[in-house]
Amino acid sequence: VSRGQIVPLRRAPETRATIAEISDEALLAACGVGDTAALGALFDRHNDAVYRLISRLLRTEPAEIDDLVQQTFLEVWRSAKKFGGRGAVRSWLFGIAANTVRHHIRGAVRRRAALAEVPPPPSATTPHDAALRAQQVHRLAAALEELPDDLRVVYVMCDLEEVPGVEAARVLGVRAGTLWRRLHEARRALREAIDGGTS
Amino acid sequence: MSDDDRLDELATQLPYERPDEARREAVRASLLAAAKQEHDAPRPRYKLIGAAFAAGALAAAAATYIIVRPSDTATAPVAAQVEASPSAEVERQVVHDGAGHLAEVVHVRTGRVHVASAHPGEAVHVATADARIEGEGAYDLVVADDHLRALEVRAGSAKLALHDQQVIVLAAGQAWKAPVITAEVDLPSVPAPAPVAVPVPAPVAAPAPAPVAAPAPAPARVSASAPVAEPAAPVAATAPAPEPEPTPAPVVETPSATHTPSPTEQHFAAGWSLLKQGKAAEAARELGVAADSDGDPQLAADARYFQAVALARAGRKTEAENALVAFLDHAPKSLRRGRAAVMLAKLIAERGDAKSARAWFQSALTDPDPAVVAAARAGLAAL
Repeated sequence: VSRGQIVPLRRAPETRATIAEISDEALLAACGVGDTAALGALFDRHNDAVYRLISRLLRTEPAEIDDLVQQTFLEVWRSAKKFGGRGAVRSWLFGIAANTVRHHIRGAVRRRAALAEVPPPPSATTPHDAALRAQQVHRLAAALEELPDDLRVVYVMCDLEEVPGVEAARVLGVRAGTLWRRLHEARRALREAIDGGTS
Repeated sequence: MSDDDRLDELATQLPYERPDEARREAVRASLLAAAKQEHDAPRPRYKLIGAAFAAGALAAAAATYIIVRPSDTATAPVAAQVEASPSAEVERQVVHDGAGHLAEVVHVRTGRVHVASAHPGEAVHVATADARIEGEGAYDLVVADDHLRALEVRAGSAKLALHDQQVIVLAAGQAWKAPVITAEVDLPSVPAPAPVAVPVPAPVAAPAPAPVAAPAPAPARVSASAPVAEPAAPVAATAPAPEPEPTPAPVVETPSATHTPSPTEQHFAAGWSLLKQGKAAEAARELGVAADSDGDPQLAADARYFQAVALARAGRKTEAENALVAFLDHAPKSLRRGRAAVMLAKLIAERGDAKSARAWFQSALTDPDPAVVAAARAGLAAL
């Protein structure tokens, strides 16, 4: 029997992950136990996309969009424990944002905002092309606003934000078939709107 | 450039809100302040125990009632009244989760149970393998084999969340019952109809999914309690042999010798027979009538699926697509969903809508049938 030697235990140096290394899921879990820093990190990571999504779902004043973005993240904070892990956090967050907008639209009689300024197209080759392109984009923006809410949210999530259809259906609480049909109808309506003034 | 491509290209130029840093920072600061305020506020309501604790303590439970309150009170919480039927298997205990909460836990493996909140306005949570219930008031539920079979609200209200489905809210006096689960049973050696006319889009290298190459078993049905996993015996007794008498009269639950086929069944049988004979257009017509009828909804759903197969074989792709979408929309629990999704994805891919095709291929990746999953993966790879 060899004689043992007492070796002092050393605690391995603590390593802390930077925010950039922490997954969305981990940040959400931290939100679930009351970590506001994690909420801040989630906001920093996704606020661009949420601003984009909300402002395409609802054309209104900047201050109102700010409120909706804040409400979305506050709901994320409240619901963090409910995240089931089936799908990306970003899709789940978009689902919350879409619901927030939907409730907002229902609660206040909407449609008061005028169409926003449409930026000039970057890739037109001639002034005539540029004018035509701007006209089409303007028409598309108007048509998007005129779409029924259910169609608009599906189009913005799936086509503009590229959320996979299965995840979008899950977070919106609709069947995949319903989602696909809505997307199909939205695209058809938008195509028709673009073509509406070209002839 | 196709219309879809043009739409996609224009859509990238749609305007959206781009706040400056000051605005963004103001929203962020306001958000964090509101979150902190909510977190610091006292919560009088009972809380549902976290998943880790629940999973450890309750792994073997078929149904679990969890009511938690802070352990600052010396006595165990009495948050709910639970009455079980004499034959129910029930175990009740009070546990400490180590995080400052006492929990009253009732395990019910099987049986009928009555649950009532002890305090008005407080929720009682129930979880089974397939459902989650949050009720305020009183409600009865029946659990069997780890699954919720029925729920009836006596007072107050209850939210019932079934897996993969929307939340159902039941008010006092309303009830929910689990649907009768039917299973599709493969007929042995069904001859594949002659030409496979379903278009396989060029970019999709995957082999056509089973419903295309080898259609479809007749929609014989067995009840949920029948031995679904062993198709041979019950099928032999209930499903008609395809040859030499090729008309598979659909068998619905417990058919008797005097069973008179309903119009839905008659049209389905006629359509199925025509499909097997390679008469796709006629089959599509009969199956469409069966699908549109007011009879058995599950048989109608099957009819819709086979109508899509027939339409595809007849070269009527747009109609096939519509039939598949209708099937997927109205038969959320069908075992044929994966096959239908792959078939639909291929049709969509063929007409150049890669985005939608990708979504449908992805939806089939979780199908229990490995052949369907393989076809979906191959389809995705080829997009």
